[in-house]
Amino acid sequence: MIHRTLKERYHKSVNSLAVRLVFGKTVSRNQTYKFFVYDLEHYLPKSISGNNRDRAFHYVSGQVSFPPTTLLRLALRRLSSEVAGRFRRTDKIVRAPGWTLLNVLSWVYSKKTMNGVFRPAIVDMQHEHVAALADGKRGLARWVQLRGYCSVGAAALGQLPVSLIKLAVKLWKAAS
Amino acid sequence: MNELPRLSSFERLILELLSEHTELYGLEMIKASGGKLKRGTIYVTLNRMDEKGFVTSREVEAEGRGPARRSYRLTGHGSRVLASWQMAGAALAQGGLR
Repeated sequence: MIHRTLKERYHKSVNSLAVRLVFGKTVSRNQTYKFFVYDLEHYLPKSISGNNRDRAFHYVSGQVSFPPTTLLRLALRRLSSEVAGRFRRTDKIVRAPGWTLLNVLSWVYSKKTMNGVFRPAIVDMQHEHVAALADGKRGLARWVQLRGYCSVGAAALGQLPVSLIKLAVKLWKAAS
Repeated sequence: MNELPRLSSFERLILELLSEHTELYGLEMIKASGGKLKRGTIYVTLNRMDEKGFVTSREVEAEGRGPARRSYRLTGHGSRVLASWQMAGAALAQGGLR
């Protein structure tokens, strides 16, 4: 239920200070945000529980103002998580794999191809990846990620001739 | 007279799977096919079938978790094409037995 609320609220405060403090970066796309919330659900340290967890969600939405002490605590939490990330990897907030690849592919392929071919493939990989992580199977998660990249690469190669032909036809029609 | 639309073996398999199940995700089709469909090719095939009008798709919100997934279902045209191919296959098999 809280996910949906945050999705609706997100549009109002995309690059809020809260989001930047928690995730260490600005967020500019709706799709990215949806997964950020998903990430938060899975990667928010387990020590933040109960009411504090809900408050953290609200905090990310940027709609609720918190006392400076809470703000500072969460910022420090993130900093310590970054510093100790190598030793306590379970506390690290990470993005689901594939978004960068999706952005790169969107430079080459049309929106229709992206929505019909690459986005579903990457979303499937993300679901499998996070499910493996939720089960504590890090090795499987890595394997899913590797296999996902390979399959998206294969799909990109398979789709390339079709896209090139379509582009050539489009250019030819425009020229004639 | 209209010709029977061309159908690759993967396309036919996907049509058969979708006729057995009302609606499927790509990943579910891969699992249901028993390894015949591959992750690298299924969405290219599904996209092509969508363009041909054999299947239709929609985005389904993942119940409060994760990004929306694309779900596929058979269209009326796809259903008729599958039936035609199955009839043609059956007729060919009967002819071969004579």
